[in-house]
Amino acid sequence: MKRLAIILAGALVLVLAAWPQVASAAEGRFTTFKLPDGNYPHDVSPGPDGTIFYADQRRGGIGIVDPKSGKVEKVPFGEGSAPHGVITGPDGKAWLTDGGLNAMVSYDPATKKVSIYKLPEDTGYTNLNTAAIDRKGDVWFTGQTGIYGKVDVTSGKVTVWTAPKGRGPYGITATKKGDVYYASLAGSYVGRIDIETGQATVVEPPTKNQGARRVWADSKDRIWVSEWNSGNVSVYDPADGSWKQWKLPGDGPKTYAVYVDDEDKVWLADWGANALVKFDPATEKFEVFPFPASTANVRQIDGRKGEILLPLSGPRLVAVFKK
Amino acid sequence: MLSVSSVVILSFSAAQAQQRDAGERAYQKCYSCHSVDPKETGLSGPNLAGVVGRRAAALPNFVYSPALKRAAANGLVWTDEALDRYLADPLEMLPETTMSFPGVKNAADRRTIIDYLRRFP
Repeated sequence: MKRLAIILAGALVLVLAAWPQVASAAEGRFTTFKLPDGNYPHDVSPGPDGTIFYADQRRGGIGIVDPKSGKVEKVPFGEGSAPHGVITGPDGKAWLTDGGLNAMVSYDPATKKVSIYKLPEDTGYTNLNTAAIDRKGDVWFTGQTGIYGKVDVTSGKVTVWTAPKGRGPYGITATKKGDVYYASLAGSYVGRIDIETGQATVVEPPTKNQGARRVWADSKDRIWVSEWNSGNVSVYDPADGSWKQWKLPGDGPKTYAVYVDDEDKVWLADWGANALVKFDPATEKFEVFPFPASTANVRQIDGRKGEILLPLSGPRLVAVFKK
Repeated sequence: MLSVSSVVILSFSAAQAQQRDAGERAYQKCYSCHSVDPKETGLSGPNLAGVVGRRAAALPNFVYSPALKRAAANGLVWTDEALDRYLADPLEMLPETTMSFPGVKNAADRRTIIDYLRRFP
């Protein structure tokens, strides 16, 4: 294995002027935050001390919103950066899937250190999508051109595998046990990755061509799936191999994102209704909360106790929904 | 502090990437969501076979964003020039497009993609 490490000191951190909060809307439970001009929040994740990380796919780097002050801090990753996804590890580090750099990037908010783990040139462009952390602390990621991979966080080594059924790997999640599953949007399946061997097994949802877009594991290690084409939310239980699915309410739902909170309530972004949709698995009831902007284009959901965090990529805002 | 690590690939066929010609390699930026095989439909982006010279939002079986429909109603045709502008920065040309793609900044790469698309009339 050839390993090259280049240390570039002093990643520039730009602290931008305070950006005002936009007035709350939709029952007063949404609060939105303006971002610097041209920023494009694709995904969000919880940062330290109540802050919110966002992946800025258009201007590059990571953004950090402080909801208390409305200030936004930007940390650039260098020329060509265009991250799609961001997650937060148990140590507080952010991990970003940077398709523009064709690299995984970590950002440590405690030290401000940015580390870039590039895929080799001969991999070609992979359209890196989303990341998840397994039980060993290694970081798994998807690439929509038809790959998935892993960063060994101890050695820094990156390994890439060709995904079954070609293009499509999109959202990815780790269960409480640390197993890893991903959704294939174009392949319309859920992949289970054996984290020891790296091999993926295809799990077919019952609805054909459903467009499995994102996945999230609940406290019982069941895998919830947002189905873009079908407008369903579905759940796969690895314990017995069973599936259940429900169509979201309204005409023409398009289920883009799924997130399961700490009470095992399921939150969905529906582009058809332009709404945040809550699903309670216990009662099988939906609640619909219209987004506080037209064509909000919410592409991902994350959260923490009492809060749902949302990137509104249409109006280029970050939002908090109080549960 | 910024650090960069190189990597090793296991189980991935680097030959797959190397065997592609320049057009195919450049088109990988589009490949995740678009096909140039007219029979391959159902992807998250519209089929690109015949897109060069075609009116915008023209495929009957694809649900385009309101932004693309408006642009089509205003006469947008995917000429070389229009494709070049869109590929360079989709959100600059159509701020409400739902295509989440930061653009191809290198003009030669954009030309290679457009020339590749022209192979699929």
